[in-house]
Amino acid sequence: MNPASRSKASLVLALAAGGCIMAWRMGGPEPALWLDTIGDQKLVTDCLDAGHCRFEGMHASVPGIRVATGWATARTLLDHLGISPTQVHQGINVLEGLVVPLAGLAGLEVAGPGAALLSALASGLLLHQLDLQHGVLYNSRPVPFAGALFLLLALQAVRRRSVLALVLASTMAAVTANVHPVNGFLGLSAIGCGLLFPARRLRMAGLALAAFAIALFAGAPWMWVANLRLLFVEGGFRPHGAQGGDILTGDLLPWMAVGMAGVACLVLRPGRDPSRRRDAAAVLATLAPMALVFLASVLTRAVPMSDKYLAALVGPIALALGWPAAQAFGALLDRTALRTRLQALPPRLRNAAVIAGPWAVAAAIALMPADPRVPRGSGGYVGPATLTLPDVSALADRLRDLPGWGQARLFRALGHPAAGDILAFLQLLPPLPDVPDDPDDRARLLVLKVPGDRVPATLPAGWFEVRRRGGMALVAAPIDGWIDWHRFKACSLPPPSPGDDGCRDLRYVPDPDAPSPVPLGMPVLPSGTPATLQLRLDLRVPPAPAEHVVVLPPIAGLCPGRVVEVEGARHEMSGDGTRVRLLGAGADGSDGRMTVRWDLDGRPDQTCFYDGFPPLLLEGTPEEVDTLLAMLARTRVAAGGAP
Amino acid sequence: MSRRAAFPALLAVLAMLPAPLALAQARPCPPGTRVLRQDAAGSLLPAASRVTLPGGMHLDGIGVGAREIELRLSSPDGFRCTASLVAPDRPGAATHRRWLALAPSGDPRCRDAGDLLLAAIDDALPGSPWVECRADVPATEALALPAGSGTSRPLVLAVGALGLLLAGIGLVAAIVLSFRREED
Repeated sequence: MNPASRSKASLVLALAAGGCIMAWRMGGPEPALWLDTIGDQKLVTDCLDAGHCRFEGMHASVPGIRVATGWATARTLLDHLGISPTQVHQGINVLEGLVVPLAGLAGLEVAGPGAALLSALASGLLLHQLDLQHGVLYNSRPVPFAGALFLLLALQAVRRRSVLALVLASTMAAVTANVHPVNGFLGLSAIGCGLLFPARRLRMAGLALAAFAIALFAGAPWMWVANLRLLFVEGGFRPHGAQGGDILTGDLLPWMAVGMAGVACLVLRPGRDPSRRRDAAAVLATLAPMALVFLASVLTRAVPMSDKYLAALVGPIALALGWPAAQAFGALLDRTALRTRLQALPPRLRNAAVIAGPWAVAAAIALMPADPRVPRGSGGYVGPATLTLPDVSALADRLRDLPGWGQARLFRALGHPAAGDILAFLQLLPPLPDVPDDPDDRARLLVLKVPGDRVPATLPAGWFEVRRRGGMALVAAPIDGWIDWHRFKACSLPPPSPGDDGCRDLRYVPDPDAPSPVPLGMPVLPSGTPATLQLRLDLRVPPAPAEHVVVLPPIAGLCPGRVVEVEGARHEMSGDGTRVRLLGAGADGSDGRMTVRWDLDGRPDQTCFYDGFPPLLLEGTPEEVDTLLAMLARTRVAAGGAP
Repeated sequence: MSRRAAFPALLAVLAMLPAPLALAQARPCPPGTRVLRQDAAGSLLPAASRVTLPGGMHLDGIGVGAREIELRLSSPDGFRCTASLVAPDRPGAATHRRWLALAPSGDPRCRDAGDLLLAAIDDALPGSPWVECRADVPATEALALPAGSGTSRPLVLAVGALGLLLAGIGLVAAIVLSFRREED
């Protein structure tokens, strides 16, 4: 290997190390329990276990459009090869980390080490800015990698007049489009790069189109057939006026605008090297189609827009920022004669700087602040202790070893903010015993993920630690409850219509027609606007003197609730209704009722999660509840405050 | 167009062949698919019009297509949107009830109104609004929702392998090319 290649390899290695550490810190070692992941896994399981392979694609936020067939088929293959979702997640962490060296290589390709390092640094920053849920395994995760790879191939195609690179770039654009159709605009970018081939413009553009189209249809035939049917037979996609309109998140937009302006300057003012105009035009070609469509969609309010749709442009935007910045920095060095002074340094010192520079940048990228927690969104419960897929698998393994925990009992007894998601994922694992739920059983199984150092050395009788990972412990607490969850009355307030008080007498059983577990008849309440869920619960108070505590803990991400009324049972209630002490009635004991209300999305500063299951409510003996609250201490919030 | 340009253009046209073929195969209500009963529309509007929508939203109309019920909404400030009710087994539905689900919507006002209307409409339906297409049933007007599997497992695995293979070849080629000296 010659010195230039050694230096290049050292740079790539450093940036890859920095990028992968950063991506690992952002993504975490295990994928979060999340609606999209559960849906993907259901497709995979249905195909591999039941032979029901449905790969016409999933529905997108624009009505009728189907997406992600390429993602689903790849996930199915990997599952078939025995690669678990957690391993796929870890692999995607690595791919996300490779965006940094790919952006660096692209910078190196067009403008040398300075542009490489600045582009790599910019790619790390942009990955943090992007509205991507790094802790979740879903189809948008590999897109930044695919986009950065496309950029590098496209540049190589134009700079080296490489037909192979052009075909591979076009193919990469198709693979990315099969993960999400919005990336299909990369196909236009590939054609644009073909047009930059000197003397063979049309031929190369046609070749790019052919490679793109063939790979597109070969990779997701059912999805594109469905989308084309929608487009040509059913009257088009019908973007619904202002249905989407809003920019949901747009942190990348200013960077994209600055980058495009910078590269446009390079196109218009190529300086002493005319080949720079061609390189800049190639970068602009990779950026412009998607960027312009995105901006047009924002301006016309045609579809909902989030900068996650720009995930494929992380690499191109990073280069568009890094290259002009390196140019400007170089001009500054020349103007201040600093370059001459630097060149006058002893060769040993200069060599050391050349080697240390990339590692210093890599260290800066690796140490960028990363929060692996899942950001707040509509895909599932988001709290300080979001469960991961292996958490649920471990819980299922432990429950299979315990007598009496069948599917029906767990459906009624499970207490966790994301009970619906846990039960949905459990359906994809080897089943729990199918035993009927005992109507006299009042047991609850509270499942909490808490900091490991908050778990007492000795847990109350019957409780157990399911697993411990990354400083967090998953604790299962079977509780002998006083609340009878078999039957209750649920009301949505205010009533939905004058003739309907919004109340239903319900049994806590699964809705047989719902595709995923949800209690039959529970109110479907709108998200995003204040609404109230009220449950009227029967209490089974034991005749013997006893004490029982019910607490509605203020946990981040959880809808705030309070007890508004207790009837027929001796009790003491706190002023704010978040804690009730129930007293066994002795020999003349009788049952009672308790009315609880939850404000859904009622907090002024944040929304909360409600998925059709009764929100989390803690109960138990005073000692049990104190233990639960002590474990939850760091996850609780002051009223209306931050965690 | 030169002869040299004609060949790739021909390739591109050939690549597009699956599209018209698929369109030619598209038949309204082919056996094994299901569509919405058009006679279900009668019970929907009275139920939906009783719902008080949040934010002053107003229900302008309901359209029953083959695969979805379209709810056209507006507000006094000129805001307009459309919410779609689809089959509950459609992946990615925002919320679902017995027979129908709310298709995802980016706008919170539309989604909230759609949620309420979904509940009212679903409650008002006497039974499933979906009807299976059979060979002896005359076709309905619009295209139908595929009701089951039509893809074989080996084909799915092969297509998955193709995507991963192409990405892998792309990565290797990009790195190899990066370390080759530029010809020019």
